[in-house]
Amino acid sequence: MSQASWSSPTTPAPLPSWPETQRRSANIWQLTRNELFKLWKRRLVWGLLGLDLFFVLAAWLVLVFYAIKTRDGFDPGHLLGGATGLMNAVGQPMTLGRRGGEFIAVALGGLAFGGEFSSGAIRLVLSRGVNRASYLIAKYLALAIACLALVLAGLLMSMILTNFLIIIHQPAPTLLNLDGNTIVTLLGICLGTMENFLLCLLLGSTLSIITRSAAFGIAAGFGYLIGEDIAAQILPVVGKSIHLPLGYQINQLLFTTNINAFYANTLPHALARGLDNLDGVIACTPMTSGCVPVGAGQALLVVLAWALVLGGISTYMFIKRDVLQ
Amino acid sequence: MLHPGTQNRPVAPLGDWNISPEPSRDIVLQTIGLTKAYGKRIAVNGLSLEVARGEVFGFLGPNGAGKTTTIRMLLNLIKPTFGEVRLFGQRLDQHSRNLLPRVGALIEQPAFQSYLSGRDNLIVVGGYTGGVDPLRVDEILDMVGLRERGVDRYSTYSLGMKQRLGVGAALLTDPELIILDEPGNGLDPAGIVEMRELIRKLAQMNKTIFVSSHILAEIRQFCTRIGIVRAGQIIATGGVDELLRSSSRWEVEVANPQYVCQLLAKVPVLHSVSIEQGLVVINAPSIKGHDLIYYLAQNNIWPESVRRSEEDLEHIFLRLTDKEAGL
Repeated sequence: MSQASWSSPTTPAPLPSWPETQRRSANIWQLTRNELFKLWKRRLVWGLLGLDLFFVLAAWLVLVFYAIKTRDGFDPGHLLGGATGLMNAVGQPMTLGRRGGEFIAVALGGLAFGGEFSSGAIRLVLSRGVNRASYLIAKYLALAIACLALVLAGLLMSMILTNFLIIIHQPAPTLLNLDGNTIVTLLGICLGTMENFLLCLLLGSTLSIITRSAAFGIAAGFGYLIGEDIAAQILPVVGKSIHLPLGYQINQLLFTTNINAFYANTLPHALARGLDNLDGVIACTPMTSGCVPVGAGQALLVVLAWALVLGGISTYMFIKRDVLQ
Repeated sequence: MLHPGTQNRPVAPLGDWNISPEPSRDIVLQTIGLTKAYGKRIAVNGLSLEVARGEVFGFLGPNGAGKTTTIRMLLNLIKPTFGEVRLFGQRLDQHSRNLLPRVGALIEQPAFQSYLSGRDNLIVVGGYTGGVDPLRVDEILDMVGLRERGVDRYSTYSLGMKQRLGVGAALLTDPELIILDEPGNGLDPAGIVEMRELIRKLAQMNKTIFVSSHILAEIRQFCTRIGIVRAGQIIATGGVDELLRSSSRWEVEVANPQYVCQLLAKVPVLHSVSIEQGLVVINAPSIKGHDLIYYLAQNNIWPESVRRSEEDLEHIFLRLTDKEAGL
């Protein structure tokens, strides 16, 4: 590595001055803009966005594969043309891709916070007088915008891919079949996916703030996401086998609260079943024998409670703890 | 009898060499009883110091003495267990948002976003104080000699280049107070010389500089005052010249050293008088040479030579830190 000269030996550069009026740490909006700049410039973020789109593409390919293989896919009510077909054709890649997006959201949260702790860059930030709470909020806002970009990119990708169905089968849905109900369902999927990503973002962020490490935070977050799927298979059996009121209450609490898919009731039968299979513990739908339908209000309440717990822990840790890195 | 001007001058013993700041001084940085404890371990213990505007204050201490912990408290990165930090006369814990943007700091190894270029990193750092003109970023890159490598990713920089970028970031908003923690770390000899020149240049611009180091030669060359810290406590503060003078002694070459020794031993302001290798050695940092000669002449003693010898800063530092540690 070559070392550039420190300064010109003949004509040392004068020290420039700085206007007095600008000597105040940035507010939340300025900090958010700064964080967005950092995300924009980070190749890894673009890589994760690409990965999310790959998940959507893979989900679409799976959909097409089964549609061709079984021919059931083009039965009435599924991918056969019309508004319901369009709802399925756009919604299924999105809901399947959502699972991959959850991991991406955890990684984003972990990298954004844990990365700065691991590298020590956090001390440069906080030594500039930046209010810790403002910085935390700004970071969350910027990451939320990144998550919104993930959702919208997934929607766009899914909508574009839908139009290619007509190549393999006619009739097939296209965007020309878009109607009011389909728009409402797609918005519900987007909203639910966004809410789901934000929760995962909080999870990754909180774990990385607690451990002060991106690697540990991301690993723990991934562990949770994988673990909940395993738990989804085991816990209902355990809960029911206890044959005690408490066991049923635990079962009820854990498996009837559809915290990440409150829109499941609005989905067509096939999509709801797919979502149930994907989301394990946190995505019970009326389609599952062990679950009871949960209203949007209750689902949102549970999400809000989790968000408050995760947000509270991360805020307390971030503001109160010493920066030792 | 000694010269009237110096007769009753109090002489501070070495180690108790704390000088109270003059009331007129504009105190930029002040710590009052600063203490940080991690469980039972006390990293910084009741540290009080003051740095006036325009001073280059050297914060000296062996590794693990509590220098970096102190600096972190000065920058609100860690909260003191007891005591307080005042910057520009205001409490840091209550006004950090207004005070810290007036401070530029480089703490240990510089740490930037590894995925950003040097230039983008400076833009981001400027963003923490509300944004920075890209022209200013270029000026700073010029100043630290990174103009050509500014577009390269930070992760590709050598340690010396990272250190320079850290200095650049510290100077980005033209701070009034600059805190540098071991600024010579990672720099090659030429880089260290240039760093020293930069600090001198900043001092000429009436910047207040607080620089920590364990390299005494470095500190001696540009610091106006120093503080020596050991086991989390300040054991001495004062001007560099003052410290050197306080450790100075007089060596007098005379024909009858025994007699002179007995004579001088009666003078109260002289700490100690002894004979070493035929010379009368007087430990009295505050007395002046002409006072000594005047006194000897009054007693009809005519020395062959009167020479002042000074202990170097390194020896003073080692002696003070060893003494405080009970070594």
